[in-house]
Amino acid sequence: MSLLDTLPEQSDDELRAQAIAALREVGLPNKKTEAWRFTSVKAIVERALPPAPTSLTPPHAEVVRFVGGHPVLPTTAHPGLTLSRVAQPTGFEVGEAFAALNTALFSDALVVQAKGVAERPLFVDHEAGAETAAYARLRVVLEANAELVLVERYRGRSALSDSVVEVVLGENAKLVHLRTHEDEGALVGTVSVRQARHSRYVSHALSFFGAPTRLDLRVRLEGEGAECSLDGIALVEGQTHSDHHVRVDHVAPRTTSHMRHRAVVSDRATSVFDGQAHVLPGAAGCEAHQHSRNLLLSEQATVHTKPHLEIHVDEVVASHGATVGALDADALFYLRARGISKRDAQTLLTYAFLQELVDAIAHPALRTAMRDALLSQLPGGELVRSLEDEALDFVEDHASEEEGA
Amino acid sequence: MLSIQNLHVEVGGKPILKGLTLELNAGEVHAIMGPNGAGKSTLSYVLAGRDGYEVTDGSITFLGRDLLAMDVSERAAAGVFLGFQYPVAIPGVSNLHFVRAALNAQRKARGEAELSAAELMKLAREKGKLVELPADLMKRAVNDGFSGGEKKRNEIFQMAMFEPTLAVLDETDSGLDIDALRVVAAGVNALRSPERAMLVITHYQRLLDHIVPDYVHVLVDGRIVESGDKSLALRLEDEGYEKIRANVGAAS
Repeated sequence: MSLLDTLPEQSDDELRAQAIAALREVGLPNKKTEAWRFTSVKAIVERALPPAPTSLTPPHAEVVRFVGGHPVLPTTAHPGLTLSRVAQPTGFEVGEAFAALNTALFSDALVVQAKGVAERPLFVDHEAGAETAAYARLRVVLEANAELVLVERYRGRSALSDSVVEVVLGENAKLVHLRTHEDEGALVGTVSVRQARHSRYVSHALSFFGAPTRLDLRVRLEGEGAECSLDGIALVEGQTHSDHHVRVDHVAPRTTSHMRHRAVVSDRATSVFDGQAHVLPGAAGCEAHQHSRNLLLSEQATVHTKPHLEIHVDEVVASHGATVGALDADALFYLRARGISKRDAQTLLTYAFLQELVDAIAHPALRTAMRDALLSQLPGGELVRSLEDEALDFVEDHASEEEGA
Repeated sequence: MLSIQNLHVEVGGKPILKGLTLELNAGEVHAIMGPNGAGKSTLSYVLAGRDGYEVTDGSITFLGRDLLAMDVSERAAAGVFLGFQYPVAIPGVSNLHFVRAALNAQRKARGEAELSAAELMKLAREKGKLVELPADLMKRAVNDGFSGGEKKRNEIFQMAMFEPTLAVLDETDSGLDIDALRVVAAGVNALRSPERAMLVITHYQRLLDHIVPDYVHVLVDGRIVESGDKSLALRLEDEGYEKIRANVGAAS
């Protein structure tokens, strides 16, 4: 049996038919597939998990719910946004591998269209089933000058969640996209972004657990001056596995990409990071940066990291680098010698390692939520939270001194 | 207060301390001087409980308790403070938050109430004055980008905040110019008290011009070979360690 056995014989829809044909020809990734070298999909692919049936799910007031991959629209309107469900994937991408499987099998997609600046973040919660596969499909289109904060949360314990998010950014549009992968089951996600002139895409992807978690994030900078900033955190423990594959294509001149990945790996867990930036012919004056830092908290933890650049023009500013290491023994001893327990000292230093990427989240409430999600996974995380929740400042003291003077 | 008896310590299988005996009483300031490689820093690390320092013989008793049986953070809570020769920078952790976390961890371990933010700020302002530590250094990440002098002032600031029973100051004078040395020494002197003992470890006599010890001990090759009052430090400065080393060699 194979997951491919769940494909329909044929489809009247052209895109779905293309996806089915491609999958029949190429198949799903296996251990010989280069892009999946370090991530085993055997356990997922060998089971013919049926797509989750639609169920009657009560809508949430504000939040879009995807239950078993089926979108349930909120009851409250979001000013500046049009949310709709569509069954026909007109204008969608076919995709490859798991994205193609999603194209062939999703039932209803959620299409988000934004005009102007959305006042509130749009939350999308994914909940998948234990014995079925969830094929969630989102298409997010921002018109020129539109702005949106999109927060996706993947939760539960899925047999398989195979999602695709397509993002199309018009001129000067800006999307901030937060994703937390908190699903303890198998999670395969594709995000495909196309950017017009001077648009900005800011991504913060956070992966916990994973059996495995795989993110394929691909950005095409198609308009001059487009920028993307792609931050990823993997915090894995036990036997879990996180894999972030990120690729940016600099198609247009004077485009900019910043990629940062931080992994904290404990026990026998594994983190994979593959970051590619391709600066294509004609894309002069581009800037591409890729940095991967990895913290190993046990002898059995594994990291595979590969930031790489492919540059076809002369005039470009680029940097890339990767580091792998353990917690600094001197710093640990220093903290402990001041009275902080070993566990808390480790947590403090681990959080300090990740903090730069948490601080990069501009929206204060979302930053706090992301921090709390991270700290809930670290032993003794309450210490860090208690430290940060109360500002320590001399402001009052200056005031009293001035009064005295 | 502190009783070190016949202490033998190995690092990576190599004997460093070879039968060190030392007694400190409350209110006393002892200086340990010695050439490089004599075991001065090893002594400070063993007192603080750093991993990798194996005690093969002897004992350390602190306030009647077996210090060697206590964990690193337990020793801090019990009142042992180590001023580091090379204070560690911890990017991402603000100095004040760090001091508060440490102080409250110590207080909690002792069964005392934790300090509120307001109480901490009041204390920090008061203690910061002792070593002229500016407010912006308190707010910055721990020792991150601090100059040598700022790091040492920060050590003494922390000591003032924690009010330890025993302060071990490891080469506090290293990396300090004369002005910074004066500030740091003044901070230390302000913290001298009848309830507190200090062990000042130094290579050079000049620190002892500012922090005048009650006793001076000379550590050579893992043992204390001579003890005296502050005049011993001056004599060492004149004669150098070579003469003492030669005497020790002749005697053994």
